[in-house]
Amino acid sequence: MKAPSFQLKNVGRTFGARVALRQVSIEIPAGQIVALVGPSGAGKSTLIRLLAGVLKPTTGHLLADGKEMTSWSWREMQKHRGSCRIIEQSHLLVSQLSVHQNTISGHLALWPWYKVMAAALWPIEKERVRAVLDSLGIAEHQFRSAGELSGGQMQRVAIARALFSDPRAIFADEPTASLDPNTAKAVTEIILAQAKARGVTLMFCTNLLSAVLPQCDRVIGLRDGELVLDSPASLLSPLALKRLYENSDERQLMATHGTNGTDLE
Amino acid sequence: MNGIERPEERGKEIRRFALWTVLAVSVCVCIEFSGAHVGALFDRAGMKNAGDMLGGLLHPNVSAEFLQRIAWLSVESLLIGILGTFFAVFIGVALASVAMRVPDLPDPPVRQRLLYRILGNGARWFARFILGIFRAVPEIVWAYFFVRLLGLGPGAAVMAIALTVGGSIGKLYAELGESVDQKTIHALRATGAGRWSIYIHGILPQVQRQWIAYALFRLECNIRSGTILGVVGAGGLGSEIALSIRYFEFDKLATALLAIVALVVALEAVGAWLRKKPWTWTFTGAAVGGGMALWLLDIPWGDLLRGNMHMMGDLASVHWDGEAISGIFKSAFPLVTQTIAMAWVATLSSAVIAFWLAPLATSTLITGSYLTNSYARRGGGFFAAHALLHTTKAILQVTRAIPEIMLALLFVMWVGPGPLAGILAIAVHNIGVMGRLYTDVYEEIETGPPRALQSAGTSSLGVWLFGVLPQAYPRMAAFTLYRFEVNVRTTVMVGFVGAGGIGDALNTAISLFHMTDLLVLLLIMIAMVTVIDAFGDHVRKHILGGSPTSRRWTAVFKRFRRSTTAPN
Repeated sequence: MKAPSFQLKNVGRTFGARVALRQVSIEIPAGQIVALVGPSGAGKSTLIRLLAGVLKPTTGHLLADGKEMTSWSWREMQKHRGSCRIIEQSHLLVSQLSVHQNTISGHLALWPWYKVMAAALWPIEKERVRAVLDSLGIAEHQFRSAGELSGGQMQRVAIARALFSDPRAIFADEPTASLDPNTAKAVTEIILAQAKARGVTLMFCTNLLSAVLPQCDRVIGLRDGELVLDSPASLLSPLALKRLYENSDERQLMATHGTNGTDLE
Repeated sequence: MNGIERPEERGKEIRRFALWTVLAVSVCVCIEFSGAHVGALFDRAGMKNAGDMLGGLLHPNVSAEFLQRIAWLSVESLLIGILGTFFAVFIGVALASVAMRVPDLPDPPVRQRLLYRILGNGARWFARFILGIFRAVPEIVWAYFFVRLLGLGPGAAVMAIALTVGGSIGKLYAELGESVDQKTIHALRATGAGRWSIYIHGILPQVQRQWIAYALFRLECNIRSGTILGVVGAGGLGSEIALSIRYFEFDKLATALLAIVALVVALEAVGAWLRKKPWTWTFTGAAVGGGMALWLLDIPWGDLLRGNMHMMGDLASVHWDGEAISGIFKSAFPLVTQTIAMAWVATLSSAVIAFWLAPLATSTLITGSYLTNSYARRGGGFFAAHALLHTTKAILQVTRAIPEIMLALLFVMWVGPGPLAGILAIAVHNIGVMGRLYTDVYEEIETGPPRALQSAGTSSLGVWLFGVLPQAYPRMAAFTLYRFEVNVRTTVMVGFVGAGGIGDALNTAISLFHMTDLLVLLLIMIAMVTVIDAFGDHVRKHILGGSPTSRRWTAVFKRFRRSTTAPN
């Protein structure tokens, strides 16, 4: 399976009177690893949800692999959603289910109904699930219920759920925002390494660019719903970043962590 | 450990499957115990009867004269429910205020005098006892009793509702009153306030919202009861139904049944609308209804006080003969097991059906989505999904709207008198009730996990099995158990129209004036209901954790929260 490419032409999204995204035009080639940055409320989550087929654009054209997404049938849209995975800020696991079943639940879209029912009744595909959990270092918790785990472990399960279905595109929406710095670093590295190894299109939304920058191909910056920064990762200018975060709450955050050792202040 | 299942985890799976097996086996055993012959469902004569009946139902009687009568009877049913609720709340509040335990300070410097303490506790236990009796005797038994006291007419139904519902309202009010914030009460105690000042200034302000919410909830239920108690001659639509079945007038039966369904559906719609309005709207409506009821319903109130002397004479004819009583006990024991077995089979079979129907009636799973502002189904898929959702909702609504006792009358005609008719009646009605309860539970879960699954393109089946059901499961089990308790009482009730169980025997005892049998059977039944309630409370506590009563009503109060905010 090939990783998808995306093309946005003047895409906009409004929520009532609030404009979340205005006139954004970008092209994202297949297999690219993109860091998406910008102050909160800039439209990062909106952009990610548009690409994953979870949110409908209000204006503009949104193309995946050269095909207009808004004209897709329900079945095609479900297929697209099934090939993309979003890793959210909160893990969104079902705490009553075991880690095994939570991981399996990422794959349901690709299974026929009888296999879905079998999976709900009895733990199936134990070996494959263990392999994924093993790569994230939580294999020993496979049959514990998800509610018993720590925050970092739960976020790893959420990543395992996303990876288990061999997605073609991964959208990480600030997956480390609720974790402590060490765990956050580890989780970020896992996502980047797995994405690289699998050759998927990755869009990593973050305010801690320093952890992501060395691994990614491209940095896209949004502010107030507008595209204000788009540069290859190697050519990123600190000045542009500084402008992106000017007068925003995250400015302090960026200042503390810096990018590539460059202090913003 | 390397992710190999630990023994205790495998044990968990095995226990889960063992539980399902035990439940399945218990249904088979209970069918055996209840003595129901499932084959009767396909009996040729019965099927012909059912066919005739359904054929008649297709041609309702719509003569102007009869419609006028039905319209008046609908109004009468409505008024019975409203007036019954008023009396029930009155009885409930009066008894609850006595039955409630108002705690003393943890270590009071001076205790009340012993005599007062004994008197207070005695009054409390007496009030509890009365509440228990009111609650445990089914409405229909009270209705029978009051028909004899007040004569045929709506008065009996009003009194039956007032006592039964008064009992359950009183118990719940007392429990809510006891679970208020203890600090306030201690603070009032410390100022030297007595029991009644604490009740008025410390407890009432804290519970009034919940009390009002529950009274309004019961109002809806009572109007529904008002339509059916007429089966024993206590006015309302039920009386017309009993008559038309007795004389095989299926066209009139059809009209009356349609009227009941229409009334119940309308009631639900009006209830849903009123819940969005301030609670005073409902209250004003109920007050006007109560006034009209007092004015319009023909109830000989005088007879309540004067009494019907020959009733007392009957009571005097009770023989407290040890041998006779033990004989009744011996014959009643199989009836008790039969009643419980019937209720269990009916509850579980309707739970199984409702389990599969409930997700189909949940709009977030079928037509809509947990995702907002997203792509929607189009064309054929859109219409198919809407058709599925609304068909299922209609099935649940109609089965819920037809009262059990009506269904019992119909099934008695189909499969003949006996336990099977009772089981079928309760099962069919409960499909609708439990389907509704389950969908309510689905709507209260955390929407994050199902949203995550849906954004990954998971089908509705997957979202239901992996995102919704695991969260809803404990509360669904608790609701099912609660319905079992309710169904035990209902089984007694449907017995009155010949559908087996202890109700059948009660009916015989009442009709033949065997007062000794009647009293002993009532005592046995009260004991049975009390034991089952205690058992249910215990298991629910185990399933849900926390105080069982408060959990039992959480959903109810949630539904009424909007209507009862800021009663001041």
